[in-house]
Amino acid sequence: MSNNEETLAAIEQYLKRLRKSLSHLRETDTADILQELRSHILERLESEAGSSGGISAILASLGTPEEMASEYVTENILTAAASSRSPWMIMKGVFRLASVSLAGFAVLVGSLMGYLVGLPLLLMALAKPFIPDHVGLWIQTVTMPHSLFFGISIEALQGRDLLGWWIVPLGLIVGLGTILLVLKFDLWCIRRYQRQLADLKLIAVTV
Amino acid sequence: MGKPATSALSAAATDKWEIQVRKGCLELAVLACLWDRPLYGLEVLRKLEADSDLIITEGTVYPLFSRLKAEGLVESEWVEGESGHPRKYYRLSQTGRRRVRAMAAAWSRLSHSMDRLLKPLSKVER
Repeated sequence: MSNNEETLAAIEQYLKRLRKSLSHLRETDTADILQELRSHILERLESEAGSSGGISAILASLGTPEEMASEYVTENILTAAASSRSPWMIMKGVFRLASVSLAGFAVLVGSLMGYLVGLPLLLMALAKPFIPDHVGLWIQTVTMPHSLFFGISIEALQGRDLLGWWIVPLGLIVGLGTILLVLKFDLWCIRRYQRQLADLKLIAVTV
Repeated sequence: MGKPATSALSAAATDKWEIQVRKGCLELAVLACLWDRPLYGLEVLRKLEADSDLIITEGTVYPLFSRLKAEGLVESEWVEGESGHPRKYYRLSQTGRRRVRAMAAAWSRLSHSMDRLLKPLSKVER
C-alpha cells in the first residue's frame, strides 16, 4: 500500500514542478493542463502495470516537467500572438521565438531594426505639423562646416529644410509601411514555427 | 577512406529530411484520428503508434491539441471515466472536419503525383 502512496506522491511531485513552470499561464489553463496530465499518467500506470520501471519509467518518458512546461508556454504565447494582431502580443511572440530558436533570435533582431527605422519616421511625420521648425532633414547653415540633421530637434533648427512638408507623407508611408511589414513578417514567422513544431521529438522508425 | 564517411553523412541527411516530412503530416494525422469518434490524448498517441509509424511524445501532442482548439478545429470536454479519473476527450469541430477533408484531399493529390514520379525508381536493378 505504501507503494501506491509513493507512486501518487511521485506523480504529485512531478505535477507540482510542472505547475511552477507554468506560472505564466492563466490559472484555468494551468489547472486544466495538470488535470489532463494527471489523468494521462494514471491511465498509463494502469495499462502498463507489471512492466518494469513503474512510475519512474513513465515520468522519465514524459521528459522533465520544465521541458514539458516550456512546450505549453511556447504554444500559449505563439497562439495568442498569432490570433491577437496587437503589436504588443506579437512582440511577445517574437521574444518567445528568440528564446527557443536561433532563427527566432534573428527574427527578433530584424524586427527591432525595423522598428528602429519605422517608429522615428512615423513620429517625425506626426510631429511636423505641430513643430515644423524642429522636424525634418535640414542643412544647418549656422554651424561651420554646415551640418546635416535628420530627426526631431529640441531646439529650433536653422538653415534649409530640405524636405519641407514632404516629410509628412514620407514619414507616414515609409514609417507605417515598415512597421506593418515587420508585424506581417513576425506573424508569418510565428505561424511557420507553429506548423513546424520545431521541438517535436519524432522517433524515426528503422525498418 | 572517403566512402564510409560520405554514406554516414547522407544517411543523416536522409533522416533529417524524413523528420521534416513527418512533421508536415502530423497535424493531418492527429485530426484524422478524430474522424470516427472523439478520443482522449493517450488514445490518440496509441492510435498514431499503431496505425502509422508516427511516434510522438505527450510533450508534443497536448500542446498541439491546445493550439488546434485555439484555432477552432477541435473541441474538448471532460468525461468521467469508469476508472475513476476524468478524461479530456477531443472531437473535430465543423471547421475541423472541413479542414481535415481538404488536407486529406491535398495529401492524396500529392502522394499520387509522387507515386508517378517515383515509378522509374522501382525498375532499378540491384
